[in-house]
Amino acid sequence: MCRFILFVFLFLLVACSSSPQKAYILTPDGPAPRGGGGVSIGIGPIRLADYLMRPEIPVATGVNQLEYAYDSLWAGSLEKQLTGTIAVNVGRRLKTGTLYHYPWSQTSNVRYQVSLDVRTFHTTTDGRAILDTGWRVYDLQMKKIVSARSSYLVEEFSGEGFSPATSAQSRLVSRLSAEIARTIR
Amino acid sequence: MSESKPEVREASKLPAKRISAAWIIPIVAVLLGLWLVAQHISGQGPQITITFETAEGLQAGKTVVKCRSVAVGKVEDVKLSSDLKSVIATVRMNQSAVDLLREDTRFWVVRPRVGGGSVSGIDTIFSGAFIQLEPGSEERTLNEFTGLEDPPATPQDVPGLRFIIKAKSARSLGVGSPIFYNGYEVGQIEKSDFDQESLLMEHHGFVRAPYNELVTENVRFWNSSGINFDVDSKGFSFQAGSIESIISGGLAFGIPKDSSRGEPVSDGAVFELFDSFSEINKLTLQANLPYLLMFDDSVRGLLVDAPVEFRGIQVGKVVDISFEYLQEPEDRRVPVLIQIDPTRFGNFDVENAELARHEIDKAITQGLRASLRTGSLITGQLYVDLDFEEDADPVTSSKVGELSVIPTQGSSLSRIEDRVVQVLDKVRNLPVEKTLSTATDALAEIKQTAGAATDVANDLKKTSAALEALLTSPDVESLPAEFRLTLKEAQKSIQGVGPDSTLFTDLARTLEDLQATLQSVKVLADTIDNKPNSLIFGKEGAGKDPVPGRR
Repeated sequence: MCRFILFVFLFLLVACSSSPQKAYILTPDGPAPRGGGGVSIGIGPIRLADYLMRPEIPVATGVNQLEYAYDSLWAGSLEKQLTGTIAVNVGRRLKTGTLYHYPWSQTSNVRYQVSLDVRTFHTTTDGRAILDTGWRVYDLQMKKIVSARSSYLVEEFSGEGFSPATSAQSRLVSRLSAEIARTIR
Repeated sequence: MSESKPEVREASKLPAKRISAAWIIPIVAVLLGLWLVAQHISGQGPQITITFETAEGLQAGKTVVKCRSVAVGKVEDVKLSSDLKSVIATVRMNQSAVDLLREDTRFWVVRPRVGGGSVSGIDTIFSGAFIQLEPGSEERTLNEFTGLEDPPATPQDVPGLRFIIKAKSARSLGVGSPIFYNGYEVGQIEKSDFDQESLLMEHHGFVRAPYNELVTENVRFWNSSGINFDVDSKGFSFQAGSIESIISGGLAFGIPKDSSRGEPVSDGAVFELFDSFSEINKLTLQANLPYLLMFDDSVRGLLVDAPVEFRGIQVGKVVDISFEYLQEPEDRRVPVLIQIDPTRFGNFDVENAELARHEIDKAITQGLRASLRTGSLITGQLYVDLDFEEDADPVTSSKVGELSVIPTQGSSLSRIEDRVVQVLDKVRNLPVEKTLSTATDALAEIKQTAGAATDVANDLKKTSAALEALLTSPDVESLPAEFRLTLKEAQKSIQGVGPDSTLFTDLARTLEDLQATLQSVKVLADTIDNKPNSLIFGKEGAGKDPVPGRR
């Protein structure tokens, strides 16, 4: 009988133990430079691959296999997070606080526009984070393309879970931002 | 020589020798011995034999027989029976205990016992086991008894009611399990047997006076052991008895609602044991009209005993769900056998079942249909709903095998599902992309127009500058000042719809919001498309998420 009661309690406990959802953000290297005055930069539009257009964070569980984490989500839209993070990272490297997110108004007087196509952006179960993008930098004043390139970046991380994974993804965005900043400088 | 006669001495008679006084001692000793023997024999009571299964705790010459803690006999001998299957204890009873040896006198060995939620006979750990005698009341006396293996739960002379409760399984009930009425203990189970013929457990219950009057012909017994967790078409229910009954098990009895108390019963009455309190209130059908329902949908969630309702009033119950009722092998429908009690409709007697059947057949032609409804959204349990469908296809009553069939229509859930899918299809078929591209085109056009307008405005500016020059010229200065003002306002209005205007910014922002909303709808539509019941049961795979990182 005691075993039965124990079983009932365990059953009730198990029924209550569904894990809560967690949301994750990408973080820039630090805050954006405070003062304006530098060169004005507009980030966007960023076009995401189809598989990234949902809130659940994808994890590659095999070479050609992805699984979505139903309890681990991107906080808000991934597109806007990428826009914001790249803007701040690029702004820090170019020492400018004049940063715009697409779409901006015509009066903004943006000098450089960076548009991106994100083809791959996920982590794997063997501890790697991958970012594959094609990106272009336009000089709007001179009306010309400064650079059009692709970047395939891989960042290894240790530990398990979405916290080390998303910080590795943040590092990837930082490396991409560095490449973009180098072409503008 | 002289002749001399021998002297003859006359024999003298001596008195006979008397018995020595010393003989008194052995004689007295013998008499005393005889008296003692007689005393012993006259003091001894009858010798009886008691048969037990085991001699555990019994010792010849030591173990005593007690009645109300008074020693009334002693075990003289313990030996195995001739068939070696039991032991026979020979007991010498005291003379004073002769009257105790009736036909229904009971004997059992009192030894330490632990179990069934009780501990007894602890004092015999030190004092040694003894045989308890419970005096009988019959006229006939006996010398051979069969001892009880377990002490009886209640002494025979306690007034009360003894009855039998038949149950499908023993569950946690056993000898000594309490019987409750409204949570108050009024009796207990004295004996539990398994009847091999009926394959039922027979619990011999005892309710002591004056509570025996509560046991009437309409009471129902249910198992109040442990914690009862019920899921049915009405939702969840949770019942727990007292702490004692949770731990050691127990029975409870009461009158089902809508039922009278009835006449008191006498000893030996037989009751059925119900699984739970809610069981006793379940519908008891007075007359049964079997009908078959053939469902096209899944009947997952429909259980045997689920209610059959007509406009919210239970009129029957589900009896069976089985493909065995299908007559044709290619039939893919799911047969559900129900029983309808026409007396629940109010205007039929038990005898008029055929008339009721005729009426139901008539109702079927008028549109009576059965459908599956969700009794509880949380548990997903279903019940059968009978109702008239206004736009039902005309059908006459049909039969599958021997059973009449009530036509069915899709379940409410599947109808909702269909409707949701229809709505989603409509959403999906919305010319969203077309609309968006049209909107983009329109925007482009607006932009162009605005650009053109800016050009126009610039031209206007130039023109107005020229005009101003003209106007400042003394020739035109005489023109009314309103004309100049109007021109300036026109310029302002044209700027109001330009690419840098708030209108344009608002429009762009609204389009962005629309895009985000469409994205969310797409994710929702994909989820529902993959797993339609995820609306109610959540996403599949939740809790089994992949984990990135090196294991």
